Amino acid sequence: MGDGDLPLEPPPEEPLTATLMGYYGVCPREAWLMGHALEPYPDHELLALGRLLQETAYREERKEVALPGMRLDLLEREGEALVVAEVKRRSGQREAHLLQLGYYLLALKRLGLEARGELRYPEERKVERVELTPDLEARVREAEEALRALLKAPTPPPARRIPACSGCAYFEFCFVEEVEDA
Amino acid sequence: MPKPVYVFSSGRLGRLANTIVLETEERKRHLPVEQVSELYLFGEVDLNKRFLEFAAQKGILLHFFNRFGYYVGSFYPREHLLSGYLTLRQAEHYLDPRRRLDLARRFVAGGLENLRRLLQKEAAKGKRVEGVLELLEKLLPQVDEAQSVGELMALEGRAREAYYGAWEELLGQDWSLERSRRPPKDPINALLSFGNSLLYTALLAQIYQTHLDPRIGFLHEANYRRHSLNLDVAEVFKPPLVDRLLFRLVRRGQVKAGHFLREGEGVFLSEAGRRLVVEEWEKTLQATYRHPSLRRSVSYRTTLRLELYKLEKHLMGETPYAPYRMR
Ligand code: SF4
Repeated sequence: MGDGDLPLEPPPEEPLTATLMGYYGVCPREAWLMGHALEPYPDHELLALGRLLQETAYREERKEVALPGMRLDLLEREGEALVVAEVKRRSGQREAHLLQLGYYLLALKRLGLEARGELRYPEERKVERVELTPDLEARVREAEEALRALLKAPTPPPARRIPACSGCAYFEFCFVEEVEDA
Repeated sequence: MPKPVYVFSSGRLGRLANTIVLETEERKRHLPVEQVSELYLFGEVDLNKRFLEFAAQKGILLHFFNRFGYYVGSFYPREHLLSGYLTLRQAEHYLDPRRRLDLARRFVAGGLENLRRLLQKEAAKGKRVEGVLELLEKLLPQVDEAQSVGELMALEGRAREAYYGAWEELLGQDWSLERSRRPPKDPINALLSFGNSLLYTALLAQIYQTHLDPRIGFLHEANYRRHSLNLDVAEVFKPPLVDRLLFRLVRRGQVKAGHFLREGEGVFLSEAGRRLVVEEWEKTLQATYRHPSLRRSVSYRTTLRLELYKLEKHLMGETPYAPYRMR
């Protein structure tokens, strides 16, 4: 597909952040809380670790590009194609990472830029190539709509225990309650 | 984990790169800034605007006490966590009389319930506190019927008066309590005032880690110059944390006549006395237990923050606030 064939479309009303999309893929409640600027307790170790990783991984090749609602982790030229890389710690949440990366790729496509992506897990020495296939694009668009609707809800979706909870910075917030005496 | 640092000596506070430098006559202490959450300043401490800017930038709270150990106030850096959504919810609950009364009732009921539990434990140890317990049983259901915050305050006042009247039975003649605040007129009042201000400031520091606005309280009148949300939440924690701490100090014979100084009408804690209370207070906050709903080990300092999470969830319309219950 040449440049001229890329259908340009106006960006959606309000840019969602790609990070929100990533959270949405893990847990809609987390996306709602983040979307309402209710960041979790700042001293949480995992958050600090994540930040450190973002700052140190692939420092040399790293270039930052800002688009509305997102800051691409890494963007490099490889021949002619743009490569967007997303660096994560563990591949356990691959589906969510895929959505977030797909969201970047779709945002670039809306601007008329063709790009492919890469999911990188330096701790696991894994790199996965990602293309914005029609299937991934459909999933991203669907998630985008669902996320938009979710953020409009007056209260967050209730906390449900999922595997991600145990490592989540919202754990205490989500599950604290006063238990009746036995 | 950053921790509060208690400064008893007098001297100068300054900044050197990323450390807080405390210079006193005897020595110079360097405190790495990421290890400090709050500074409690009891001595005569000099500091300048540059230092305040540093503290603000690093999100460090400063609590000031005068030379009698009375709490003067806190330096609360500009909010670093802001959620317009939650601020609106908090204001809405303050402005709507029905919602405000509902929350105020919950704080008072939580405080009275914990008083009741504390006295039940004392009764089990053979203390004769039936009179106060009966009064509490009578007052507790009235909390839900109170039609104004003023009525609630009056109820709370009656319960507290009766409760303090029982301190002579609980701690012996030397420690009978008739509340006097400014200035405290005897050692037990001095201890209680000091202990309560440690709780108020500890809560304030936890509020700083949430999206709540400390100026908007529900039971204690919101006041644009003063913090009041921490006073509300303190109602719930005074019996389990502060009162029990004082009971321990008195019963173990740790507080002694020498820990108090008299000046004019007032009695206050000497430096040694303050150090003793602060040490026990830190032990109390750092003690851990297994949290029943989290099924994780949490400290009592974290418990204060958990209380604020429950309050946030109430404001968000998720789960009605159920105050911490002493166990
Ligand atoms: S603790 Fe669980 S339910 Fe709560 S935000 Fe995190 S993942 Fe979602």
